Amino acid sequence: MTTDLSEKIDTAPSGPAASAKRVRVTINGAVHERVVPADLSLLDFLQEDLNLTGTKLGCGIGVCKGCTVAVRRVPSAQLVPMLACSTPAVNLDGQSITTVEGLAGGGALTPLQTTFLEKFAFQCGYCAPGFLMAAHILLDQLRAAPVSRDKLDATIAEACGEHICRCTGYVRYYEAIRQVALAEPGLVR
Amino acid sequence: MSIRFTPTRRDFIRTVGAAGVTLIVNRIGPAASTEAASTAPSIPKAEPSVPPEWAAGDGKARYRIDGIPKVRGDKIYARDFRARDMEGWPATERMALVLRTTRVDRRFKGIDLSILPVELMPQKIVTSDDLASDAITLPSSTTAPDGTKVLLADPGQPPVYYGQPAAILIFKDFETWRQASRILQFREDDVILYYPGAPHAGAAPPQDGGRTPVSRPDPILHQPAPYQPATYLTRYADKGVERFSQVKDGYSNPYQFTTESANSDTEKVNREARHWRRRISAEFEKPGVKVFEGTFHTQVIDPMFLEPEAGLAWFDRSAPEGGTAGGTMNLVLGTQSTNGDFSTTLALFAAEGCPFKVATVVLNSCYPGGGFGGRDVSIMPLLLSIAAAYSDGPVRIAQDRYQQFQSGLKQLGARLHPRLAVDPEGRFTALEYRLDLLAGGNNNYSQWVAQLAAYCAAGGYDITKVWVDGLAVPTTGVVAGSMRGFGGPQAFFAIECLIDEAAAALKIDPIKLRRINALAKGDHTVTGAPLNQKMPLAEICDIAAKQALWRDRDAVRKEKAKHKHGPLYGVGFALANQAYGTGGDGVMAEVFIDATGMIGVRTNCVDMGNGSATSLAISTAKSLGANAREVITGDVVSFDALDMNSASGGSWSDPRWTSSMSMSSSACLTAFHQVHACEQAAAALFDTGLYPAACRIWTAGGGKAPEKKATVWKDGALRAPGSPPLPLAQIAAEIFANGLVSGAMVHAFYQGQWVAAKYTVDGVTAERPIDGFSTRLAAATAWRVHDRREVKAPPASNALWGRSLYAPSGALAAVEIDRATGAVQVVEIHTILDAGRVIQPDLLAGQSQGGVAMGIGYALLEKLPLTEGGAGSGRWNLDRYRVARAGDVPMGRLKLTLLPPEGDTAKGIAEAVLCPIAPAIVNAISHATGSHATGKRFDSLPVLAEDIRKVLA
Repeated sequence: MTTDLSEKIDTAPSGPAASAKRVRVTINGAVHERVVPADLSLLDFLQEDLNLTGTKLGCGIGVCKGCTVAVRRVPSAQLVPMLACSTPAVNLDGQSITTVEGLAGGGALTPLQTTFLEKFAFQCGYCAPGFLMAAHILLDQLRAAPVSRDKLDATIAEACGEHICRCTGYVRYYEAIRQVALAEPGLVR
Repeated sequence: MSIRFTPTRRDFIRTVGAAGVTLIVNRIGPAASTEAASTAPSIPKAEPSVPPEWAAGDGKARYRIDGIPKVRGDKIYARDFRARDMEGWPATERMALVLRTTRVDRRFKGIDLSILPVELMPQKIVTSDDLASDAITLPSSTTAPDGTKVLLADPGQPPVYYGQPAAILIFKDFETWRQASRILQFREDDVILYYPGAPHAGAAPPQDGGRTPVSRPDPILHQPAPYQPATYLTRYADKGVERFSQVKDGYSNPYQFTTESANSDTEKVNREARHWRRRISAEFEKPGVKVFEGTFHTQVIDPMFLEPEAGLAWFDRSAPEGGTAGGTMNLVLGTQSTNGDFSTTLALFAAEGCPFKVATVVLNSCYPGGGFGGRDVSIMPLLLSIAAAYSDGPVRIAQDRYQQFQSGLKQLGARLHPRLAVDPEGRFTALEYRLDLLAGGNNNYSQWVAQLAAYCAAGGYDITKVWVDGLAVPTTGVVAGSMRGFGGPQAFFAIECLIDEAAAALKIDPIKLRRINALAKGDHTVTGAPLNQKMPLAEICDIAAKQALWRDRDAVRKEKAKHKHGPLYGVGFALANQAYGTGGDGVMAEVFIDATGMIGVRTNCVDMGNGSATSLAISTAKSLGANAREVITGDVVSFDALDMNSASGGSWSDPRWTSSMSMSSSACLTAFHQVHACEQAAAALFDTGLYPAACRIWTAGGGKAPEKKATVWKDGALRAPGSPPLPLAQIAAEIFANGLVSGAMVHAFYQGQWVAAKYTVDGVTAERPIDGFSTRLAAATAWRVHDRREVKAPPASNALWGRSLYAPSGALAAVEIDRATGAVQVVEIHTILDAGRVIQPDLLAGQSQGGVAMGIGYALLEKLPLTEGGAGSGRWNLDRYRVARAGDVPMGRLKLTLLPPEGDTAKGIAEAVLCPIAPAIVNAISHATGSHATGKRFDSLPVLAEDIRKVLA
């Protein structure tokens, strides 16, 4: 884990609506501490403050799930999905967040990423980060609580069923996620 | 849609560091020298013997060429970029917000921002007064019903359409914009001011500060004429003889009564059309003929690509190097129409008196986060350019989803009235079909959408006596344009549902009835154009009819009906004969090789996710034995090296003239058109560069050069009997050592046939199916233009064909309907498709699967009111607008059957896979509910649960 001390503290932007709060979050392994407006969304924080634009805005109201990131509230907790468009950044204080940029972390692609590629899972790709993060969280959860083979499809649907993709018809996303879940030992009973 | 665009001036091209962004620079002023225009593209150096990771062998892809940045979350979409990401830009970035009107029943007065605290006020407010006083020149796509061009609402006039922009607000920074946007959102009633009272005809213009109204007729009070041109088709053929048609007799308008001489050509053809229309109508009166007709409606839908439109612009007022007066307009866009946006941006500031002197336009073309036609001549580039002109530095527009619904191009709704005559044998003897496509408040491409709807009117059927009217009717709805299908989904829905009604009434199997009437090779279309290609519509019917899904449909339906509380079950079929291409398409490609043997492709087309970049990258393998390592997309200006023009009045005798230079990117234009250009460029590069280099190597040791036709690529080496194999890298090295041809650039034009001509390069003459050709020698910067000779151009009559390329398709759909709620679940879709040669199977299947999902949304889920309460209200988002989720798609029961290709060419199928889905689903619903037996009809899309409950009641 690293701390980017050079960016440690920012001043709060001006404006009457912006009651500023300090937030300290770990994003993709790096600790960021900032003073931000209390109503600044996590998505805007990622994109504007940290220049991490891999997390996407689709609807901005938490419907399309395109902005899904993975949050670990405490080190021992399971990953849970969080909608970055409609979650204030200050709510994540003290928590650890993984975004699409953190999956490979500048190194080798994860099996989910390579399988998304090889299955031609996405087309325009704009919703791919949301699907990747949902599936990443699903795998984490399956590691803790494997499901039986006959429940796998329903479990995938539960994790990804509300994600919106306009290009693909979803078929290849689901095939890719299923393949990765089955390939990793211990996720499916 | 074809845009005639002649790039006349350019400077240079390079790629910026961020992946996927192509930098295009166009300079106004004297054309740069050919040398300056031809900076060789840089290709990353790598071992040529190692194929790129995405490749799965020659001509194959393991994954998309653009795949890795998309799974890593790299910056590749226009929405990802900030000024700080752009090399050489100031880091300070302004944010612009477009305020939009939400009513059209009052005259616009102005805006009032007093709800904003002073510290959140915009730095600059741009209004229509600014545009008028600064002589901003709007493009033809902004034409209002009265023929004027509009962008921002005019004070004193009612807004032309719901959601028409009222003003552009420029804020000092992101945080100010963010806070101000929150306050302004949904506060139009406080912010947008109108004059009281409804506008009345002849009412005195407001005098209280409103700008003097122009003479524009009030769009609320006057029923405007259709956007021009309207499409009127009349075809009468009898006993194999074409008596009257567009192709035979030219364009006609039976409603036009000229005051010219009764013997003028126009009046003659119009009179003829009226005559033959009467004859067509008489067919409906013949004994034994049964007539089926109805009025059908399709809804307005949103393309709903997932990336709301966004972009970045910077008007750099400093004069570029070289001393040309004026600044540089820099744009970062995700667009399908780089060519159109480019020329539009140039034109915006070109008028005399415009204070913004733009000498250079830089268009950074990003991968769009979905397109579906919704980024084809959008107003976003206009708004961005104008915001930049009035801003003191880089400015960004980042629409949220509400704003995207409010402003983004829509698919046109439609009011459709087909009338079909059927003889006792089940033959379709005549068709009269009126299609009113409900356009928005600007023309955009609506008239061309209506035209293609008209061309699609007779579906996949051989009907010899037809008249069709296809009109783009202006409304006060949000501007609509070229969404996926381009009029086809509307036209096919009505005719395919009507045919099922006819089948029920005639007690003929619906597929059999279609089979009886299916178009075949040698038949003619509604324009009278001959169908010279294989038309396997009957074959599609035969395949569908053999499926257990169809054969057993009544038995399964009966069986399921035994369960009192179980779902109703039905199976429907629909046929489509969607055209691809616009009927006169100019395409271009460059293929180049570097000294290590790496291949690159340059294209003007954009990959919206449909896989164009990958398809082109694997299209070099046939001639060059290897895939391209890099594809540069969205580049218009480089093709200036062809030195071609498409000036009106030009002719094929001018070797530098073509009928159409380039067009917007459409998913259905890749497989046939763009791939042809790429393959031809690769073939030309082989003939003029690689083969001569190989011969030099083979003959250097005293050996004999094999004939070109004896050579073959295998395992990355060129082989010929009796000659040693030559690796691509060795040939490339020979090219660069001897200054041979290392790049080939072609332009091709298709109108029923490819234009072909002879070209001589370095003393060798060959005929090629292209109309423009340039080559570049290794290490040279200049291109050599090779003028064509002995051109074989399409006959002039081909221009009247309308369309000449078709991708026939059919779909079987099975549905289950909850008896209590009326909710429909699509449980199976089987698509049967003539895709021609398959370029990449995964890309093709993905298009089909996506087409099914979109078709389900069209049939059952998606709907926007056309005007009041519609998208223009600014209140629409994905909580109200439902697109198909995974649970709506029968993922385990999607089947795609491909017909064997006739030749070696691929077809554009992105629309063909969509068109039959909705009517097949609606026909399945009719089957499930038995609605045809009761005379009830599902005649409007989407079919909602409440509609079904009404029928079941």
